[in-house]
Amino acid sequence: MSAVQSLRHGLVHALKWILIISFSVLVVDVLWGVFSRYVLNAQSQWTEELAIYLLVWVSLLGAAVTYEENGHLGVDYFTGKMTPDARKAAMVFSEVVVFCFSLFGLLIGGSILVERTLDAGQMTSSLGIPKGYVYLGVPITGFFFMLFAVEHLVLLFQRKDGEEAA
Amino acid sequence: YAYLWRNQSSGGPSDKLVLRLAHAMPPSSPSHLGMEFFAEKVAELSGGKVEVQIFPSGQLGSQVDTIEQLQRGALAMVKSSTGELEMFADEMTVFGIPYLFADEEHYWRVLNGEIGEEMLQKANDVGIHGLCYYDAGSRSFYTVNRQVRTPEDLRGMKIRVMSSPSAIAMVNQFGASPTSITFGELYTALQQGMVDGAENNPPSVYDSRHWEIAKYYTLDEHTRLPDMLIFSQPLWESLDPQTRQWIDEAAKESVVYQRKVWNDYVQECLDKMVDEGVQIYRPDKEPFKQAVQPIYEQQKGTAIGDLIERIQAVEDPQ
Amino acid sequence: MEILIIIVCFASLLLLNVPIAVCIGMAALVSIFAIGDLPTTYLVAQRMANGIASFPLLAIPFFVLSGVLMGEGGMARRLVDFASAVMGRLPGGLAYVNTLTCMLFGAIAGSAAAAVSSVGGFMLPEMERKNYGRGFSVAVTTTSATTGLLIPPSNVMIVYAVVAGNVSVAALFMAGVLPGILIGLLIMGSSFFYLSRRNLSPETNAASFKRIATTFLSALPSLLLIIIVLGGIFGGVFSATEASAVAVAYALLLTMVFYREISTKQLPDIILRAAKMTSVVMLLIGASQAMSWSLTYLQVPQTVSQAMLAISDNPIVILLIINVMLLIVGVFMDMTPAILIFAPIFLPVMQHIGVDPVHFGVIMIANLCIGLCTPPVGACLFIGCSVGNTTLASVFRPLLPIFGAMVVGLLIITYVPEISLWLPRLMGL
Ligand code: NA
Ligand code: NA
Repeated sequence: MSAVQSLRHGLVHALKWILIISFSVLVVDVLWGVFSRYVLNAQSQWTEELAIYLLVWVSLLGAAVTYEENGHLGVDYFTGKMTPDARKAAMVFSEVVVFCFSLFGLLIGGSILVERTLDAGQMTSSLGIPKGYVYLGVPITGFFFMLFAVEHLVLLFQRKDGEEAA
Repeated sequence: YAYLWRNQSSGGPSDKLVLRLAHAMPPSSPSHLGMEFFAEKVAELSGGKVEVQIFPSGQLGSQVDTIEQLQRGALAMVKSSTGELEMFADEMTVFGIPYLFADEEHYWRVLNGEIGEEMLQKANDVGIHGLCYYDAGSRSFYTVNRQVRTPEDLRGMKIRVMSSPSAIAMVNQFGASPTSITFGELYTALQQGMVDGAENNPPSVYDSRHWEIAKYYTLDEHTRLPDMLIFSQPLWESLDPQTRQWIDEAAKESVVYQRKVWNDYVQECLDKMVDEGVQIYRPDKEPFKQAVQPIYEQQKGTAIGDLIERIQAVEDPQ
Repeated sequence: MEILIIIVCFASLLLLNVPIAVCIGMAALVSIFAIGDLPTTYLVAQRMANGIASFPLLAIPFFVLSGVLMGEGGMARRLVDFASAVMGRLPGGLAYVNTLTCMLFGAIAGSAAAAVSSVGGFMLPEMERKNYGRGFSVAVTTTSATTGLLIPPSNVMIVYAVVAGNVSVAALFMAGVLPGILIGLLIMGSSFFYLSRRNLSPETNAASFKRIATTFLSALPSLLLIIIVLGGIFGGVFSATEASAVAVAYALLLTMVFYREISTKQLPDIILRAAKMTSVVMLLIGASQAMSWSLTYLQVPQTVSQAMLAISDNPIVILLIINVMLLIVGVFMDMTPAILIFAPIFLPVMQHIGVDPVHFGVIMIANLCIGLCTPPVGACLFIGCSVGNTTLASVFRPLLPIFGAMVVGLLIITYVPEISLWLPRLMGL
């Protein structure tokens, strides 16, 4: 295994564990909200906000991991009818579109959004943390999407022409 | 800002200026009527050169969401509660201080005076230009099982509040436990006893039909959080003085209209609730005000504390 | 002009198998850029993040996780046992057992795909052995599984409630109960007609009351999940979102402590699977919120609304047109993106002709359930074919009468609002 491959492997592995832990925290957080209302008779005010912002991070990072495994919904009916060459071209095109969207929409757009929101000093209402930190999940996700799109492209070109996708 | 504010029109042949205004209330609300009046006035004053398009019911996003869009010039205007504006300018929290205003007279004297003018421009440096205040009435407690007559009656009750620190602090001072529930789920929560009561202005209580469950409404008028019509600061700076004047004038006139429609509607809602058997009680506010004194103590010496003192010092003009 | 850009961009990317969420996001990005004068790039990022940051949406990951836990934890088997004790005595009973199990399982899992794979895994080999024909068996399983999207809890209902704005999740859940049962019964009815031409003997010789009781007891802890979720919501103990978290806690307790069919070692993998399933839906929701922003900004919903009302202002005609449009949409699109894109466009029309948004939600979901079982885009159908190891062609003929039954159900649901609204009104929602 090359150094690049093992680095990528480590990164994906770390991402997965971050997801598992955040998801577990999400469950505990909402259950704590119910528990604090009934058992402690005073509902914790931060649980709801923590939960929705954690949901943003879990959803976005989860989407990146899912993309690495080609797990997003698509319409493969028409590309399925294409010749192998045309299908390969369509696959390359699809990865390029994902790369462009992630670059402009998520990475660049997200970074500007984070910067402007931090500059304006906007705070979340219950936790009182800068709203910019919530948005930080967007550019980070964009980065991972781009990384995985490039990885898919490299795999596509390494494969011999006419060879079918797994 | 690298983007140009040439005009906001979507490519029409004329150089008509289109201003998009978003808010979260339904089209039937008094505030929406006020904004329609504003739109008509702007069209009239500008001879049709400026068009205001209104997007009600949160179509373009929640209040906070649309304020963020406005800051960056994606929207020209938003009508927002000053409660939501707290996240953009700390000073707005002053409106959440309970029993800050002696009565409605005092409230409008402050808003129309020097302090009100100052607050409109408090968030200029984060891209928010305040145009005017719209009446959003006063918020009071309504409960399911018994009437709240004194602060002691609130002790131990579960009260639904907006997730704002000042509302939570107030309910805590009364010895009640603040509970946050999405507004849409509140009816069931009241019905099933998940909470004992909630607090809101008469139109919200009436429109949400919460009075079907909560038959006791105590007009303690704890907070008066005005709505604000805000303009995108970057966009405002790009406008010529003439256009700004049209907008300012239309805003000013719409305030008079909106306040009238609002007050009529509040009265109508209260009357209808009485007809439906809701017990309306007007308590002595003094004990309530005493109970929340720790909140005032906490603010002493801070910027908010200074604002509180100035607001309380606004004199009756006789 | 900008609208044309959105449509062309979205459609061409969709046809080339770009992930749908990216098709939607890209259409939003390009259209906002085309409108001009807007701070293009960060608007999409902002709408995506804020579109996901919603408390009601939190119920989705939790219902998904509890569904995966229950699926892995041996619940499907217990439900099949119970259903066959109840219905096995009828001629051709396995078909009805299949539908009933799908209704029960779908009710708990909140996902049709999970129901097809879990229930299908048990039922299809069994039906194959008893000569029901693979095509018919798969057709029954895939269509029956969709009833779980109407019978609460249901993730697509949460998606609808969030995009529709002021719609109560609790009210929608209640509204789906009777329509879901209605469609299930209609599917059983069409199975009856299909099977009556063949001579199938009863599955079991009049199952004893004792067998019904024992299988019921064994399935009871699983069925209790529905009671806990719905009872908790309508008893005012917790909100729909909190109920979903409680469902996770209950499913963990049941499968790890009570049934002991899931070990601590398997747990991280199960959570990861749920997180990935959730993220697919959430990315779609985020991207759709961005596209829906530009559609609203361009006043597309108003334009569509005016155009439709220009054709007719008769509610019966408008509802018919919308149903036909949605059936076509369902052929080509998955349910979640279809709801995300079309609910905001059609809702103003519904408001104008006085259709309750809760009722319209049930209509939309019942309609798009049919689309889940049609090619070229039909998640349930494809999972069913692969679990049942059969071809699309062999499923197609037996599917037709069932589709007929579902369309009849859809028409009843559309034109008799009481079926949807009676229960929520009874509960004061
Ligand atoms: Na369900
Ligand atoms: Na389909």
